[in-house]
Amino acid sequence: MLTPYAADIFVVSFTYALVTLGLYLTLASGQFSVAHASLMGIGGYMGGWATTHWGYSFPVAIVLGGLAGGLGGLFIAFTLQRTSGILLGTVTIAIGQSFSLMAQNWQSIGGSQGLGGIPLYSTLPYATFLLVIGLVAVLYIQRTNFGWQLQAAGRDETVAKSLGISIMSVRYYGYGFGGFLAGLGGVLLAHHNGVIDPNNLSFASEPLFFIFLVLGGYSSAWGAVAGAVGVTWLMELLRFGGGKFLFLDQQDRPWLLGLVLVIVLIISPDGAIRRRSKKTKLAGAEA
Amino acid sequence: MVVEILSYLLAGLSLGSTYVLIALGFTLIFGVMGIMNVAHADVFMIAIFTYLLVTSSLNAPIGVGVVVAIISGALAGLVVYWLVLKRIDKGHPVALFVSTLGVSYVVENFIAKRINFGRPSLKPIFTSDPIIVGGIVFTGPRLLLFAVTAILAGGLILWLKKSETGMLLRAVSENAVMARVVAIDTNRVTMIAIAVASLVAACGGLVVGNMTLTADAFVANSLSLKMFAVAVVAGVGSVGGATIVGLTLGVIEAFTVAYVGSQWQNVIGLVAMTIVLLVRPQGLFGRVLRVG
Repeated sequence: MLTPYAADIFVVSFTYALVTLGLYLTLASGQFSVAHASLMGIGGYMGGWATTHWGYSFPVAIVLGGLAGGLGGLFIAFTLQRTSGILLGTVTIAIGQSFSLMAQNWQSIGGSQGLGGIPLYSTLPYATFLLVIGLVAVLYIQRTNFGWQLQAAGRDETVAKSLGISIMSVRYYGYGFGGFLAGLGGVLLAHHNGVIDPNNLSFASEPLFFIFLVLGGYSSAWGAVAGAVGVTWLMELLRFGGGKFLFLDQQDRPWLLGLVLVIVLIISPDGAIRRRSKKTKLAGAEA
Repeated sequence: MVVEILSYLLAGLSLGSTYVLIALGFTLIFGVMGIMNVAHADVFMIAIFTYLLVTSSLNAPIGVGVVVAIISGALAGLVVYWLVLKRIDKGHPVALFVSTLGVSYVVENFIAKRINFGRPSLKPIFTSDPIIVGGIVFTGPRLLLFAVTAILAGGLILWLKKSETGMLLRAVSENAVMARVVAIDTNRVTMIAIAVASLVAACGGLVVGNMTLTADAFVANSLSLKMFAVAVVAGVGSVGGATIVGLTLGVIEAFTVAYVGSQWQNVIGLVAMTIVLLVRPQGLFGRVLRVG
């Protein structure tokens, strides 16, 4: 059996995997988002509040947290309905950052200290269950007709529109469901750490999920999960040996990971692992 | 009462000046390259830390620190362009964008680690006794900030309008493909734009650092929010618009802090941005957007 330490890292990595899966889904439907850490945080706050203040059981908190993340996603999709592409992504950063700042200034949910005293309910079975459900749901949806519409919109919005695909419904779905998955991750995170604070929501925690996604490869749901789990484990393994390697120590990990992200993007803009396109190879798929 | 309102106005203008200095370069780079350079706000921070390194660790005179900081800020922008932005396939706007996000993550965490996640204090560049006119206090650092903002924003607008390089820059911004067709060296123009944008941000970093007197490696996180808000509300690519909107946002924020409550300060930018994007997606002063 797994040692408690290994089980713990699996819970963390599955939590990240859920959020990365949400990010993957949003990106795959052609909607660029840099707000998933915030959506995760919204889910975490909601879930944490549900168990600590409303006294709900963990499963209820999970559902509420997921819904809160989904609503956050829908809010973004609604407010940015006339914006697209990179501008959309940039503005989502600002929205995410604003969520974080609001949490920081909202004293009744803990202000900058965050919401603490959350019971530690996140166990490996819960995390595994949620991740499997999330992955199966994403893989299933991608095989339906609507899933093909999403992929079409993800590849080329103009062409998709000309085929009668509603970009708005794709966008609501992409942000809504992506936000739901991120919210689930947030509930797990809150009930794993026992606390959720505004830093979890901020822009600073955003690049992590892009690192997972780019290293895993944007082109499949499996890649998103593999990237999150793989990189989390890699980071953990780098802790061994006193955490020292040459002149580097643990706190050097963030910028090293960022460096890996940038290098991978230069070499292969589609991510480290690429899935070959099902039917045609599309060059320069526009966001 | 009048004195009170005027001093809030001044506080707002100095806040707004900070936003202007950072948003000008961001919007300039977007115009020319068509990319959202998240890492641009880090030039601001790099200038502050270079100044810190030169004046505190190397004990060089303040003037040397200022010059080295401004030059290295401008170089930092160019280095990011050479090493990263230029090398990423233009057909992948998402990859380009994420790479700027990655660059800012690397730079911030690298520098934060070197100073052990602290907030070292800076030597002041310029201070003077406060000047009091009719009850309103003008401090030296604030006057310096106003002067630098006026010179840089005014100079940039004039330069874009009148000089030949400025015209080339606007041509590329208007239509990059067409500019190349009429034999404009877009690569050179892009580099000039980045150098100028980074120079403005570096100057901004120094004069703002002169007011706060602390160096924070993660200053770009909160600053970039304002940078986006100003650029988006003004219309991305509009330099004059960014100046007006930046100052206005600062003033509104200062009055919000004074009369409504400081927790609402950071919400103003978001609300303004959301409304503008719903009603007039190209921004108040923007042409129809060229995205991607």
